Amino acid sequence: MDMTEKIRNRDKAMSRRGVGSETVTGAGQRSARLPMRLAVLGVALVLVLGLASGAASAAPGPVPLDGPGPVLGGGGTPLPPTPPLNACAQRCFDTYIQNIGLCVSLFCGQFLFITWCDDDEMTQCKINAQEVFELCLAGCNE
Amino acid sequence: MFGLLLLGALSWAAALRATDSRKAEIGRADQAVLRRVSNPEGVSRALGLPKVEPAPAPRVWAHPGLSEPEPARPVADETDPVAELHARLVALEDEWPISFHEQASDALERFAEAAMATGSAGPEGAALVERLRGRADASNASLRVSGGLYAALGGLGELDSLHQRLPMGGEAQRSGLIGLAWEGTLPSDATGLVLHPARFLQQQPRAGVSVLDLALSRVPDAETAGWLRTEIVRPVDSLEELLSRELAVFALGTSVDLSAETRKFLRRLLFDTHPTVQRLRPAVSYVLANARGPEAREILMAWLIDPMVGAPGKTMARWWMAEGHAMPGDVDALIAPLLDPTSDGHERILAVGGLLRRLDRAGEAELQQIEEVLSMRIVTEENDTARLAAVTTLALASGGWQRLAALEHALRSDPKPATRGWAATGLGRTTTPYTGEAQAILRSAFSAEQDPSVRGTIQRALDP
Repeated sequence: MDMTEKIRNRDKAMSRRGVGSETVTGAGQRSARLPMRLAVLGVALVLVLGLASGAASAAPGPVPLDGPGPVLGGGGTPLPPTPPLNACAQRCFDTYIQNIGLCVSLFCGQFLFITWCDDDEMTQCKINAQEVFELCLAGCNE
Repeated sequence: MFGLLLLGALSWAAALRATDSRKAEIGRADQAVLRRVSNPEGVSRALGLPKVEPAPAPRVWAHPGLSEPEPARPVADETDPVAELHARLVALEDEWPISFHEQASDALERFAEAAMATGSAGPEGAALVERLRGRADASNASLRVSGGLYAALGGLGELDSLHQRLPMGGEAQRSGLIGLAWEGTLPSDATGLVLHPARFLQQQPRAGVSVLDLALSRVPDAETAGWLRTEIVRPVDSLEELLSRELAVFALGTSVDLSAETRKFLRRLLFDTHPTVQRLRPAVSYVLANARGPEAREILMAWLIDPMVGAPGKTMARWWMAEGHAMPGDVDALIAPLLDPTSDGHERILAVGGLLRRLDRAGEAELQQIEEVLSMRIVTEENDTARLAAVTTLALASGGWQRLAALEHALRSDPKPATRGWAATGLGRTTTPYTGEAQAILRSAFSAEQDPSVRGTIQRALDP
């Protein structure tokens, strides 16, 4: 299977999940625990495998801390230069948001009007994201 | 005699076979190099472009697993931008498909920008457009690639071919939307709102789907705007369709500051509580948060304070508002989750992050407001991570007694060393007239502190 096909298959698998767009809000997720629970776990397993295989493909991963800075909207007016400590802390917040977004795309799904999350996995993923965030902030202050 | 002839013929055939086999072995790897060396001149001649010299030294194709060297590109006449663009496209096409997808994204972004500057006048421009169109139609697998190529077409003013793709589904439609909304190199007096779908997708991941970091800013004409509105309100059943609708929101959103009709339409979307429409809230709030005019910001603020529309989408809307233009009343909306007893830790972390983004652009009254709410939050916050976030932001902010008292509280009593460390850093950054008091707090805390890393931070704060 060539890379193009891999990407296409993975994207199709992802789109079948129909990940919701407002799920990063942290307040808008409703849980429909059962009877969809087993199905969700199965889908999550497939997704994790899909993502693992996709990691070798051209799919973009999480943005590293030293990646490009935020692109600011609003007519391209540049902001005043930010002191290094502020910039470092801001990058930690950026990474935290991206990681939470990844948690949602992994463990939450949406079909028509129903949004559901695998609560246990989602909770653990959020805890991990918060730990990464704390380590990042601690690193800025060293 | 006949036997000798037969033997000779067989030897000759064997030698040929060995050579062919060797050629195939080496040639498979070097095919791209050979094509690159032999092709460009012929192609250029066929297209009526200036002569393109081959690369000085053909490279050997890298083995799998080894890092590949920078691909050799045909050297173009630097005085002719069309020839240069064409040569770059030929170089990209000569790569294997996988290599094309991996390498094309960066090059295409530059390529598309340069294409805008070049214009499409003359036979060379027409040839370039033709080639772009063919290449875009052939690369349906990656939105980053085909979107970039269609964006180049949009930059060259070739909007007809993009219009043809809008009613289609999937990749072709999304690529058409990107090309249609891309203005090209942004002039300083660009009239349309500048929107970055790549930035949006970074924080709203669509499971591996990504687009080139091209800023959309082309204001749609009346006919296109009508089509976009129809497209946006169509039901969304899949992730792919959602991304198409979001790109349509961005394409329409470039006119948010100029068109009252667009603002009215976006307002209706934002306040609609139907679950399918709610899925578009992130895209709509992203447009409104980035808008330059006060009218769009008023819509966003009215939605943020309306409890009847529900919470979905509001946390990210605040985050994007903190990144966008600073406008009066923003800080009230940004601090709302910190004063709301029903908010969760995640919402408060992001609210604090939004305030951090605003520190550089806040007025004196807003800074006081930020100091007040963060100082209160540090003392009452039960979530460890949210408290660390609040202490970090307050440490980087300016302030007076309230700030000093809150940081002292964190330094003396917080269970997390990272939080105590940031409190020490904040006290060390305290300016007059509170410097003496801050130094006294640090000295006192140093003797009681057990954690070596926090002791080190206190020492640095005392003796910067």
